[in-house]
Amino acid sequence: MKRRTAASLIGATLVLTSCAPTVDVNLKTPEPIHITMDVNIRVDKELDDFFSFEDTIDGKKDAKTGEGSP
Amino acid sequence: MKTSLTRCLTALAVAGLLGASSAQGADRLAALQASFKARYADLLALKRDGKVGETAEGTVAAVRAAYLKDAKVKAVVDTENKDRAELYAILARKEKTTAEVVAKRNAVRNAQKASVGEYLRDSKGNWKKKAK
Repeated sequence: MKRRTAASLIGATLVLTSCAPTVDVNLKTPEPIHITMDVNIRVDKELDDFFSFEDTIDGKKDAKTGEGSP
Repeated sequence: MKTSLTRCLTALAVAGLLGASSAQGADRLAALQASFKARYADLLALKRDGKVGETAEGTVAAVRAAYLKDAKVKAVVDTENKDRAELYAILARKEKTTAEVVAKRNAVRNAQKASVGEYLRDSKGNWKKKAK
């Protein structure tokens, strides 16, 4: 009798645990976007530094609009 | 004792090699910058004449193939693109990215800096005059 009860309990536990719903929450941060932006910013700065002589030759043009200052 | 001396010497050798390589890179960048600077006025004049424009790939190109018959135009375009390719490779190594990424960033930068009336070529190969 006791063995039967124990077997039933084990069986019930197995059934309950196998059917238990699990929620998988993915908490990963969107790292690749940050990395790409960071690389672009660093590359832009390298290019601006390297070509800084252009502004002195070219009458200090605005880098965003291409317009020259009066 | 012998092992730690060997390790110390190896570390010094590696540091020396890295330092030498970095100095060489800086020297090459300075030489490249001088080359760009020497050519800049000619390139600017060709852009303002509408013979040469910036491309979406970070290179310069003749707006019409016929303009390349002019030896000066061809020389400026070829040398500029050769130097740019080397610059993009150096900066890509430095920033741990690809030369294509650096080239694209420079294309965006040059399109923004272009004066009104200068030619810009999009990724489909179409030339357009910068309007504003």
